[in-house]
Amino acid sequence: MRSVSSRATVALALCLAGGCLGEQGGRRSVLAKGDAVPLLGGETSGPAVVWTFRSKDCLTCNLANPAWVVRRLQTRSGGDFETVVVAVGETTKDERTLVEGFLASERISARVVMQSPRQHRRDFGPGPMPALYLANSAGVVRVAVPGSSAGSVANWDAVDVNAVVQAFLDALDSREANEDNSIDTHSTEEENDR
Amino acid sequence: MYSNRSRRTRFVLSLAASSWGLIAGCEDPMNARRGGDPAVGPPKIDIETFEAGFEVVRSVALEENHRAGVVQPVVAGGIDGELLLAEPVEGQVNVYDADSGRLRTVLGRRGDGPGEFRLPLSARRTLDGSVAVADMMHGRITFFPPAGEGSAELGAAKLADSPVQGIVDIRHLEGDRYLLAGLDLNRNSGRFLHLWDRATGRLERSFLPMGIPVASRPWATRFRAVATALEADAIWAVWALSDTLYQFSMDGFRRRRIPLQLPRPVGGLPVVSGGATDAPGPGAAKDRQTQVVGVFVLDDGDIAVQSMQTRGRAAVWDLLVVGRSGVAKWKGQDLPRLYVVDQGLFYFQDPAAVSPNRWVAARRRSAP
Repeated sequence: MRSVSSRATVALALCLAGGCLGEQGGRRSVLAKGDAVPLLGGETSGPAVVWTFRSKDCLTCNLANPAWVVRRLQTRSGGDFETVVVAVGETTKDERTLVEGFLASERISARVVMQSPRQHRRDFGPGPMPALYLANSAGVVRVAVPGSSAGSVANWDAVDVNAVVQAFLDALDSREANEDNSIDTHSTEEENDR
Repeated sequence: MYSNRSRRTRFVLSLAASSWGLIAGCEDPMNARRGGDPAVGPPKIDIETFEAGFEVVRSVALEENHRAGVVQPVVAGGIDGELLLAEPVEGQVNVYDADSGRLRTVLGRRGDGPGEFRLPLSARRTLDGSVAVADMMHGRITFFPPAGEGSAELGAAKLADSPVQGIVDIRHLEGDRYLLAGLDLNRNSGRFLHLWDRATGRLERSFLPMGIPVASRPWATRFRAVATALEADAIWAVWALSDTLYQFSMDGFRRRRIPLQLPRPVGGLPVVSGGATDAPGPGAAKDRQTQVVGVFVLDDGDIAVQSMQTRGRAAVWDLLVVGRSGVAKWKGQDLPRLYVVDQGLFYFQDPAAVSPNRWVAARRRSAP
């Protein structure tokens, strides 16, 4: 079993090496299955659900479907994963309070990471928002919803939320979600070791 | 790219949620901007006022498990000591034992098929013991059969299209006759209450007009909360932006109008002229706007009216009790949220708890 510090080293190496898998010519492509989620590096000891959204959407109904999915996952999985919310907008205290208030009203427990739009684009690419990613212990995306197509707004109306919950639960139950030596990360680690 | 249907659905949802006090703070996405004080923490409860008006009888901890949690419930009393919690954001109906807080059953689930919901804003027992659920997003009413084997199965549910697109509530009056609540978007009648014949699918009569100046209507139509209470021969009703309590006959004819001295008055409404509003901004305009969101007929004949103001995603809740003549008997600001009054008990959010599944059952203290 690889230690947490070892994972942190790998994650740091990944970031130092140029950001992450999926980065092409200095510009990040859309985060997809097999890519690493940079901000998870070394900070999680198991699978994680990463939920990205614009913090101003806390005042709208755009987050209703993904919120339901996250809440259902937390209820049904018994907390076998960490939930990380990446809120994109102004990284002010007020905005953080807004996001935390929204999560409390939805009864969702999560670690909140505030990101500027620029930082988010660097980390997650021009992908859809809101979006959900299931990352394994090594911080590698195993499931991405709603897919990996680029676009400014994700059409969650067309997403079958029950199927999403089942897909995430299946992935969490699988060995792959809990092991920290997925093919993508392992190959990158070898490259960095050279 | 959204289809026409999905675009319309999103619009309806945003309007519904922005007006419904229980989903406080949900704004039209196009207008979402922070105004007022959306970042404030949970509002403080005035415990002294609460305890002066109510005596807590017992605590109620609603059971939560992998099937059901309490998130943003809309509550109704049922039969045989039960509470029905429509959970709009969960897309299901949870039935609880009022005494023990035990989860008796769960009706429906999130989705689009029979017995599935997108935005169930109300669940009530009908006179024959069925459960009628009003789903605003689907624009339909779902009937689950009376309690018994298989009654909670999705396949047992019967669907009916709602003739009122913005439906927020349904109550059974008699036979095939139902009272539907919600702004009639299809016919643009500007009325909130409707008598519906389930057998024919037709609306017999629509009543409770918006009753505000035309110039304020574009702004006011965002507020869709309308609440009703039934007596043997009367319908009591309030609408979000009207500080008037209405009494109608069972045929939908107005009998009385009782002006309400709300703890925090509704006040003047912004007017819209030439597409511009004098309100400080869409987000700010809704924040701190008093909305009347609940009406309850009490055992002694008095009427309790609940009003609220949003504070970002949180809210402050007030209560006013009036006699049949309209005389104010008791009022309080900054109280715990009142979910329902059933069999003489007021079910409030527990002022000492954060979790929405922690309630207290209280009796009203008699006037000194």
